[in-house]
Amino acid sequence: MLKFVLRRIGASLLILLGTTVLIYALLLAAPGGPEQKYANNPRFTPQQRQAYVKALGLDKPIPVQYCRWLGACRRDADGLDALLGTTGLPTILPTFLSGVDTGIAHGDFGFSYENGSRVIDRLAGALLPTFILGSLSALIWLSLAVVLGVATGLKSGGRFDNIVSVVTYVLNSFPTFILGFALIWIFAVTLHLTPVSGMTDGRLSPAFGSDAYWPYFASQAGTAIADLARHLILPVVTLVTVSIAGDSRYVRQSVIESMGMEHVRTARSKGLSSLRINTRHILRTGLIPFATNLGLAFPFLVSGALVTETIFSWPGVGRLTVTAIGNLDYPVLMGILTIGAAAVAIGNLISDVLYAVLDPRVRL
Amino acid sequence: MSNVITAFLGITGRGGSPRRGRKAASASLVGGISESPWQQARRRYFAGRMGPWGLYILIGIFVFVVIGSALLPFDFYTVPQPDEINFIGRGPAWGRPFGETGLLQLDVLTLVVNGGKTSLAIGFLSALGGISIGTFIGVISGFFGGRVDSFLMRLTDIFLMIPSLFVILFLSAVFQGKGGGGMWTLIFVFIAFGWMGIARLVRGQVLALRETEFVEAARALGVRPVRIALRHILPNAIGPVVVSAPFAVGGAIIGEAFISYLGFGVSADTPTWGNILSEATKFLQQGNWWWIGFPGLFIVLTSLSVNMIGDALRAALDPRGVK
Amino acid sequence: MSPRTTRTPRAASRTAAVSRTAAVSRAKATGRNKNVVEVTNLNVSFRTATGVIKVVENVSFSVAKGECLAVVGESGSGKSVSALATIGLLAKNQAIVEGSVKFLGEELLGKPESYMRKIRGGGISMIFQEPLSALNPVTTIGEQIAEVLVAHDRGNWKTANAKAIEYLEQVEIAQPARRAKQYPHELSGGMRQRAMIAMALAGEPELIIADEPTTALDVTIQAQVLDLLRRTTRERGTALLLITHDLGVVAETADRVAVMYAGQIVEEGPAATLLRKPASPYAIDLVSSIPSYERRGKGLSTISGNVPSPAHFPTGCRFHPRCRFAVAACAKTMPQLESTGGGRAVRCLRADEIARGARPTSTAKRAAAGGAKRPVKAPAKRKAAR
Repeated sequence: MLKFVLRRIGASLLILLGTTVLIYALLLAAPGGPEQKYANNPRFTPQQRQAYVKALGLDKPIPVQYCRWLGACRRDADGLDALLGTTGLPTILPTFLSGVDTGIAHGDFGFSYENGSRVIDRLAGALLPTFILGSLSALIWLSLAVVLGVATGLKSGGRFDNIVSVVTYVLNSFPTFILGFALIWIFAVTLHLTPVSGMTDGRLSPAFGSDAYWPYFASQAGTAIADLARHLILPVVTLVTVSIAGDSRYVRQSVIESMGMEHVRTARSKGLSSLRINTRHILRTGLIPFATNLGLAFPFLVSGALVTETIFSWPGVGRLTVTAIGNLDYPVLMGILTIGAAAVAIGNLISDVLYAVLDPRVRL
Repeated sequence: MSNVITAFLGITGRGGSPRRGRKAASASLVGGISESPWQQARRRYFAGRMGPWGLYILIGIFVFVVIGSALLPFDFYTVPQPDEINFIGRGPAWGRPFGETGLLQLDVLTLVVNGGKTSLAIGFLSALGGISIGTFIGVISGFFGGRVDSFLMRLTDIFLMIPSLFVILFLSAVFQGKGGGGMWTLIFVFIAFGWMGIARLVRGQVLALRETEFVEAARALGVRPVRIALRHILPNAIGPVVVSAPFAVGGAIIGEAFISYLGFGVSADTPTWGNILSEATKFLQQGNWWWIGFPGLFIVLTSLSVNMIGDALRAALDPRGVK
Repeated sequence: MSPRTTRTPRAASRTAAVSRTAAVSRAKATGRNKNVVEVTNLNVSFRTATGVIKVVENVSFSVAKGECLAVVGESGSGKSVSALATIGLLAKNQAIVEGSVKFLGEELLGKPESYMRKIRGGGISMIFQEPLSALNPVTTIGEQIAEVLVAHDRGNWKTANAKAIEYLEQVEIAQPARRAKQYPHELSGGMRQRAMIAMALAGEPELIIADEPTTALDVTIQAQVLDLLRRTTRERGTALLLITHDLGVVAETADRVAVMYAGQIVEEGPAATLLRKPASPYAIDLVSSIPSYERRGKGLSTISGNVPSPAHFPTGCRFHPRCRFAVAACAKTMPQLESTGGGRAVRCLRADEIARGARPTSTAKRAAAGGAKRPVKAPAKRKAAR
C-alpha cells in the first residue's frame, strides 16, 4: 500500500508538471497576452509599457518564463546559468540548498497583476471560505444522497421513489445560477429570511479574513458564527440542490444493481434478517462505487464552486477565478489552476486508496 | 398526486410509461419484424411520455421565439430614451405581459423572444459544431487506428485535462474583453471545447464496429474504405451521438447564459437570455421578479425539455441500458 | 389427476404452529420414512410486460429423509424456478406461485416472510451454481457461515465464528481457521463451493437444494464436491434436491430422478432404472446424448432444436416438434404424467408403443405431426441409423 501511494505521488507530480506546461502555454498563447489590459490605456506611455513588460520578464521567451515560474531558473540570470542557484547547486532544489527562493518549487507563486499582492496570500485568503462552503455543502449533499439513494433504491418503483425521481429530475434541469437567483429572490428579497450575498454582514463585522476579522471573531464568537451561518444558508442550499440529483440517482442505481446480485439471493436463502441483508449484503457492496467517488469530491473543496460563489459573492477560490479571468491576472490564474490540478491528483489518490480499503478484491 | 406527475413525466423505473415503452417494443418484435431499427427506436421514443412531451415543449419554445421575434423586432440603437429614471421597471400588465425592464424600460417579452433567438442559435449551432467535429475525429481515429488514433486521442486527453468552464470563460474574456463580443466568438469557443466527449464515444463505437462481421464482409468484397466508413460504420455508430446531442444543446444554452451573466459573453446590445439576466440581477434586491423570472423560466424549460428528449432518446436507442 | 408416483403418508396433524423449531422437532419425532418436502401441483407464472407467462406447470415431487432427488432438464426447462419457488425466493411482485409446498407437513406457500426466514437456512438451505458470485465478495468466508448460525439463534457471534471453523473442517477444507478469515476471491473454485456447502450445512437443515452445484467447477473437482455433498447429506439424513442438466452427475449421486421439459415433469423414476431404460422420447434422447465409449466413432448424438420459450410453448405435447417418435396426435393432445409401475411415471402418448420397441417416425410423418411449423434441422438420417 505504502509503495503504491509513493509511486502514485511520483506519477502525479509528473502529470502535474505536464499540466502546468500546458496551462502556461495556453494562457500565454492567447492573443494579447498579459500586457493587453494596458495596451489601450492612454495614460500608459509606450516607455512605461516596455518597462512593465521587462519588469515582469514578459520579454523573455515563453519557455524561460515558464522555467522561472516553476523555479527551475533564476530570475537574475540568463541562459544556462539560470539553472544553477547561488550556491552552485541546481536551482530547482529547496532554498537551503540552492539559495533561490523564487518560483513555485520554492513556494513562491509570484505577484498578482491586479494589485501586486502575493498570489499565495490571495489564494490562502480565498481557500478558507471555499473550504467552509464546500465542506459543509459536500457533507450535507453526500449524506443526503446516500439516504435518498438507499431509500429509493431498496424500494424502487414505490411512491417515495416516484416522488424523489420527479423532484430530482426537475431540479437537475435547473441551471445553478437560475436556482441561486430564485432562492435569493424568495428567501432574501421577498421573505427577508437570509442575507442576499456575501460572507459577513458589513454592519456587524469586518470583512472575512481581513486583519480585523479574527480579533472580532475571538471577542464575539457567538455573533460571528451566527452571522456566518446565516450567510451560508442560501449558497449551501444551492450547492446541495444542484448536486444531489445526480448523486442520489447514482446511489439508487448502485443499490438496485447490488440487490440483483447473486450473493444477495444467497443471503436471502440463508434466512438472514432483512436488516442484515440490507446492510451487510446489499449496501456493503452497493455503496463501494459511491464511497470511492468521495475522493473525487476533494478538488471541489479546493477549487470551489465557480457559479455559486459568483452569484452569492462568496469570497472563495471560485469567485477569485472569475475576478482573475476578468483582469487577465495570469499569476493568480496559474496559481489557482496548479493547486486545482494538485487537488485532482490527490482526490484520485484518495479514491484509489478508499477503493482498496473497502473492497478486499482490490490490491494496491 | 405524485403518481400523476410521475405518469406525466414518465421517468420512474417501473411505473408509468417505460413499461408502455417496453410493451410497444416487444409488440413490435412479435408483430412486425420488418421494422428497421430506426423505426423501432422512433416507436419506442413516442411510446413513452417523456420523449413526446420534451419535444412538444421544445417545439413550443421554438415557435414562440420565432413568431415572437418576427412580430416584435428589436434594435438596441433605435430604442427611445426613457423620460424618467426607473431602476426596477414595471411589472406585467395588459400590453406588456412580461413586464418592463428598468433603465431603458424595454418590453421584457420583446427581449425574451429576441434573446431566445440568439440563445437557441448559440445552443444549437454550438452543439451541431461540436458534435460534427467530435464525430469526424472519432471516426477518423477509430477507423484508421495506429498513429492517427494515438495522436488524436492524446489531443483529446489534453483538451479534457483542462477544466472546460474555466477555459471557456478565459477564452471568452480574452477574445471579447469585458463587455462582450459577438455571438460567433462564443459559438467558436463552445465548439472548440465541446467535441472531446463525442470523439471518444464515437471512436469506441467505431473500434467495436470495425471488428464486426458485416464490416469484415464489406472489406472482403472490396468496398472502398471511405464507403465502409460512411455507409457501414457511421450509421451504426451514430446512436450515442444522437443521444448526447440534446444534452449538448442544453449545456451550451446554460453556458451562454452564465458567461453572458458574468459579462464575458455576447455584447450587451444584442439580447440573449443570459444578457437579460445579467442586467436584471443587478437590481435583484429591488424585487423585479418579472425581469429575471421570464428569461429564467425559458432557460429552465429549455433545459428540462432537452433533458427529457435526451433521456427518452437514450431509452429508445438502447432499451437495455435504461437507467 | 394423480401425477405422483411415490405416495407417502400425510402429516397426521395440521397445526398452526408458527415456530420452525417446533415443526422441525415434531417432524423429527414422527416417522422415519417421512418425506421432508412434498411439492404438489406447483405452478409458477411470471408477470411480464406482455402478460403472464407460465413457466412451471403442475410439477409435483417429494424428497424423503436422506434421499437425493435429481431434477434434470435443459436450461429454461423450469427446474431452477421450481427450486426457488420451493424455498420461497421468487420475488412476489414478479412471480405467481400456486399449488402446495409442504415442508415437514407444514404448508409453506402463503406463509409470512418472517416464517419463511426461519425456514430458509434453518430448514431448507440452498447451494448455488457459481460460488464466486453467490458468495459475498467483501465479507469473509467465516462470517458468511457464522451469520447463518446467528440468524437461526444457534449462538452469539463469538461461538458462531468458532463453529464456522468446525463446519469448514467438516467440508474437508485444509487450514479451516485461516480460510475462515479469507475472502471468497482468495479461495479456489472447489474450495469456494465447499465453503458454500459448509454454509448450507451450518443451519443443520432438513433439506438442501443444490442448483447445478458443480457446473462451474473443473471436471476433476466436480466429482470430489459431489461426493462430499452426497456423503455429508447422507450422514446427517438430510434430504438433497439436486438440480442439474448433467446426467453424469445424476448417475453418480441421485436415488430418484425427475426429468423436466418446458415447465413440466416428463418422466420420473428411480435413477438406476430410468437411466438404464428411459421411457419418454425426451429422456431417451437425453440419455443417448451422453458421450460414451460404446458409441465411439458414431458422432455425438444431439437433440435437434431448442427448448421452446415459455411464451410460445407448442400445442399438444410440448416436445413434439423435436420428437423423433411424434405422430399427428402429439400436436393436439397434451399427454398426462402416468404411472407405469416400478415407481416410474411417463408423460407420453406413445409410451406403451415405445416401450414395446416402436421405431422413430419418418421425417414426412413428423412434418405432418406439426414439425413443419418449426423446421427440424437435425440430420434425420444419422438418427435413424442409430
